[in-house]
Amino acid sequence: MNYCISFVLLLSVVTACTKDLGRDLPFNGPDLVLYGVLSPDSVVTLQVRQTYPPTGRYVYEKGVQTALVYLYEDSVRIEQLRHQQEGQYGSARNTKPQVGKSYYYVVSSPGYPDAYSLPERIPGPVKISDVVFDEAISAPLNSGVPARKLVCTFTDPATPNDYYSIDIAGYSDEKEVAVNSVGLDRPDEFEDGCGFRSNGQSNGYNLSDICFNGQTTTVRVGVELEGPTRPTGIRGKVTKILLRLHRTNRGYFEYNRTFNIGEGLLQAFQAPQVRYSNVRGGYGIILAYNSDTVTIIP
Amino acid sequence: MEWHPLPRHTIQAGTEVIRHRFRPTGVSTTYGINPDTLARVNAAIPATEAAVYAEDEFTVSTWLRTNVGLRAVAYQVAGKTYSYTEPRFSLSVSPNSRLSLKFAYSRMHQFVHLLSSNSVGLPNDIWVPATQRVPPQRSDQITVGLTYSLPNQLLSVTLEAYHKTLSGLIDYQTGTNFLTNFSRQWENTVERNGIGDSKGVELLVLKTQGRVTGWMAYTLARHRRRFPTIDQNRWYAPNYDRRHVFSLTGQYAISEQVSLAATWIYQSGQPTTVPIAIQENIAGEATAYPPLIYGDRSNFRMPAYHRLDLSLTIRHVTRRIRQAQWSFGVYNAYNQANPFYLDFDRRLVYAAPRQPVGFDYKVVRRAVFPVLPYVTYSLSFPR
Repeated sequence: MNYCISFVLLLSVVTACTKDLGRDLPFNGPDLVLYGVLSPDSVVTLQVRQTYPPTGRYVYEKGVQTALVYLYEDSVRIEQLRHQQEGQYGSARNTKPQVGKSYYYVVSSPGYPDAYSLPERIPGPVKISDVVFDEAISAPLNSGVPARKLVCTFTDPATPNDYYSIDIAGYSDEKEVAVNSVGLDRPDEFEDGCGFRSNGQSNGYNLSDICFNGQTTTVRVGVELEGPTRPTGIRGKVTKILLRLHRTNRGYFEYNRTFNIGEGLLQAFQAPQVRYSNVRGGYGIILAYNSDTVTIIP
Repeated sequence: MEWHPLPRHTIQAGTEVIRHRFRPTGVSTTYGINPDTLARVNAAIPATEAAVYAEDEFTVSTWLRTNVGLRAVAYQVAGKTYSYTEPRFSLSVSPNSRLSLKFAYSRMHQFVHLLSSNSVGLPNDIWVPATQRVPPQRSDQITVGLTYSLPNQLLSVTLEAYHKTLSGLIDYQTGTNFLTNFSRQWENTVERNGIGDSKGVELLVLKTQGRVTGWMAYTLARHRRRFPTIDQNRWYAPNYDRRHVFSLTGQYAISEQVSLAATWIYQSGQPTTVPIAIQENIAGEATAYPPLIYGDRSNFRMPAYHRLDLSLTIRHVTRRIRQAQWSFGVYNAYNQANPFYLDFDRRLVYAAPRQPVGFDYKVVRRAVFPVLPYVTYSLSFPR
């Protein structure tokens, strides 16, 4: 691979030239893009946006503000969501999704094809049974920075086709810290069917219970205890970590798995990536999950 | 082995055995990957191919010849044996010395597959073997053709048409290729059981005598394939599909020592897969760039490829009576920027620092080999 890249770079530098293609790529849109989260912990909201042509200069619209958004629970229409701001629609009755019930949206707006999401069932509760954060390790990315191994344990129910996501967020005196973490169960670029690290959510680790159905499992992550605080960028020591375990729908897992990160030279090798979507007639994702959070003081 | 059992029959028969050792993937890393996993990904694939064949060339008369043959081939890999018979038949009719007509049919099995990238990025082709999980591919081809030499014998015209059906094809799963999915076994990155269809007409006009010689070749062709698991089983064009391929080559002998040559080549653009839309990064994912939305495979064609090559050749005899030749030429004489691959020029539109509010994307073509002058000198040594 390195030789291949070196050869191509040499060839490119010596003889290459770059010219505009001179024409725009075809665009059949715009289509609606729906993005929503269904969790028993939060009131239902849905972002309604649109697609843009793949070439040209565009400034994003402030969402699609004229849409009719209907929420269905177990195939029964229960509410029309109201527009709140900039394409975000929310429940006026403070509806929260209920465990075991399935939900979907039907959205229409003048000038766009109608879109709807596939029914997504809210997963049952999940519990982090044990967390160990004592073992000091060498910093995986920034030499000299203190780091520890985080071991999170939970038990998967006997039902098949469960998906999980573990997210790590660091804080320094209530300011968010961009912590660096590294999966210790498999290399970050390695996807083996049991799980993978999210490319799009840098401290997210995704798992499928295909490898531990009905069993207790552990996730091991190396976490650095220093990093730039947001939004100033000044480095700070991590004084608190929020560890969130989500039990999710398949869409959550697949949406993260199909994130298309190809940046820089890697983009030249990137295969066309079709992002998973549970929206029909448009694009986007409806994520459904139940979660448990543990606060860790290092 | 050749055998002449009857006056007008020539029977040829033979056998061959090939021992293959394929190694499609070679990953090395300093990361602590489980050695078993790495060994599985990097494992070599041994295979054995054995065949016997026989064919009878039968000269029915001075104007009619046939060739009937059969090949039996077996391919063994990882405990799995694929065995096939491959019939072949050809008929050649020459009613006079100027005209000949031919018809041919053949069935073939191929135990290696070509995997080609289908995105806008750098082109890459990889050969992989048939395995226990990836069966060989099969083709059935019918060809008809005619060759006619004009009365003054200066020109000959060949016209051929072919139709080939393919089965057992493989192609990359959507969103995968070997270079970015090296962590997966390659068999897990391909779709199987594809079928294909190629048809075309080829015209060749050849002039071999006189001061001006050369040829003109034109092919009108269509290649397509489909898989139950790609684009809802719709046909799509593989990246080697070219609707029109034209080449014109001419040589003019100014004298016995000096000649000029020119070649012009034209090919329709290569199919590729491009995004059909862009969506905002509303999920707050770790990139400033908005995600691309891809549609069907091979939904776009690159610009056509064409170039002109010119050369001047001077022959002479050295003092030691050796044939020598100087050639002065120019490759891609009009400096056409033929696309080697397409790429995105991506810029973001900012309302404030770190606050992208839009994008400015365009597609660019990366070209290599601009106009290239060259000089060659060759010297022949008598045997």
